[in-house]
Amino acid sequence: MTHPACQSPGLSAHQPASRDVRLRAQALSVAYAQAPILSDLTLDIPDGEITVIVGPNACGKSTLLRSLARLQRLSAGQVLLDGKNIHHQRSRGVAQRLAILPQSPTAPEGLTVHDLVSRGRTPHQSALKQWSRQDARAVEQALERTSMGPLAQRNLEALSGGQRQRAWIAMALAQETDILLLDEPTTYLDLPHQIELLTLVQSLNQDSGQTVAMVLHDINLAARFANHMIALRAGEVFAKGRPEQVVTRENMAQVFGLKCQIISDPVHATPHVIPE
Amino acid sequence: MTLITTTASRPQRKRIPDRHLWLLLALVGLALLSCLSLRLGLRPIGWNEIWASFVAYSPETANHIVIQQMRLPRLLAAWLGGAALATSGMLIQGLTRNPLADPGLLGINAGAALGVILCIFLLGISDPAAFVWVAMAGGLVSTILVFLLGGGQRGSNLRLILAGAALSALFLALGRSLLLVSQRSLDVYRFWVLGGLDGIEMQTIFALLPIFGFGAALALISAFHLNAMILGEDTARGLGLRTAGTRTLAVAAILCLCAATVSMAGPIAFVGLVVPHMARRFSGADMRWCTLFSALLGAGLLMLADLVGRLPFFGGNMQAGVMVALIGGPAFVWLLRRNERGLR
Repeated sequence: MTHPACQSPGLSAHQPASRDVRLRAQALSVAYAQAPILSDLTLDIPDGEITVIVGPNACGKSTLLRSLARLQRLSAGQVLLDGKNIHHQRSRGVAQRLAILPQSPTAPEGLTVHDLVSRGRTPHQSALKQWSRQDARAVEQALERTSMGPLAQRNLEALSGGQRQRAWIAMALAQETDILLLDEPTTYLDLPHQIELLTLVQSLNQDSGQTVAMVLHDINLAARFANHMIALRAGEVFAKGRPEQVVTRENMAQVFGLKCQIISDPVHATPHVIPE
Repeated sequence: MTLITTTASRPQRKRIPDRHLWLLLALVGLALLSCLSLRLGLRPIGWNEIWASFVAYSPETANHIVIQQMRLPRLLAAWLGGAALATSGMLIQGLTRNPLADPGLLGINAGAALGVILCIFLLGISDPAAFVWVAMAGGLVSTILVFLLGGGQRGSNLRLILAGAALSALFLALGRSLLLVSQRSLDVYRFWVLGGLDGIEMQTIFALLPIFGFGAALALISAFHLNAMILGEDTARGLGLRTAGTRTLAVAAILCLCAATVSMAGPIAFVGLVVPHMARRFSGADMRWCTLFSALLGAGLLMLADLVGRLPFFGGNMQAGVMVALIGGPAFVWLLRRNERGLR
């Protein structure tokens, strides 16, 4: 069951293009102890684009992202990765195609950046076949793309919040997947570091065509960096489409209960929310 | 291509020689300690005679008997037990991401103790050799119970140690209430519960060897998986790890290693809690290296504790389980303080 707002003409125009998309949720429902968190969600994560999931607190954003990454037990429906149920595939095989960075992950004391990024190679190794030249190259590249090379031998706890988050992203990059899921990657970062991190994510997407889906709190940042947005309300998709289709005065009122004006960002020409 | 490989190997070249050097030092130290362990005791025995007891054993020579029947089994037991306890400690700390976790948390020691008490109380057996198998059975039963109570394959690591703590407390209380009503049980039990390596027979060690070996193999495989597990369960699963399988594997490894140790030497505390912390200072964060260093340092610490406890100064027979904390405690505090200064 999709919400009435989804049937608006702008949104349905988006559907046909994404017929054989690689990551898709089909009639997905999740419940914690009988209480429904997500109900009957069907949506696509468009290939090669940046999808941002937004919505008020406790609307199920993180649960949706975790479900897409097979970290969540579903009560109904399925997640399809490359056309097959993600829960029926070998987890290691999934991890070679899809990486997820959970919300504020933690590492044990004494782990260096290089150690952490190396762990991203786990799905390409096994207890018998361990470190290869390919692994070393992938780690080196991930460190370089996130500009963490000079800090590689530093302990993680000695880094600033922004650097630490870049190190985690580097770990997910070392995994060398086509799809990257990020759960609130900007939590605890100040605005300049949020911009820096999202610019990094954007460049990853633009340089190598990596599909990105992430949860963000800040609507304006979401609108600026997303190609595709999904707005959730109370466990259902309320609106989806390009930022200017999703970030509208009516949607903001319906999804967040927020009275606002929408202007066009004078620099990036993306929709910008001005709360009243 | 050549450019890529040279830059790629640079960050490791800086650290690995360090680790290899420490490894060499640890092995040399263990070898020296092993020799001393054969030589020293209430009665020091000369190198020639030690050598002779190996190549030309004569059952009439008292010193040969001391070496072959007493000191050698103790030495082997210290190697196996120390390595097993420390490895288990590393595994449980990695699995639960809790630096204060101890393999005893899984209820193995409490179960083994209850088994021994029941054996003394109900069957009237007081021969330590018979305790091996009842302790093993007790440890086995309690760990399996803990694993099931902790949710089995579908449980969480936190639930696992909570179940372990609860069941351990229950078993200890049951055991103590039996001891309260039976003076004779208490007399036998209080020696067993201190943990020590005296009176261990070669036969026992050989019988337990396959269990130690199996546990060690499981531990090595778990260590690779725990490298991802210590980043948190979500991250680990995102990296393609089957966390339930890893948990089962690690618990099985700990069960084999600890049950074999407790049935051989009684519950020896401290090694499993503290040695992994010492090991990490030499090995870095890679769990495979941590496990290797834990095993070596654990063996060394238990051997040292046993050796010092046998010296005339301590009356010749201070239990290794007591000595290990007397030596290891201050050593650990020193390590912590030195490390703090290094950071500043």
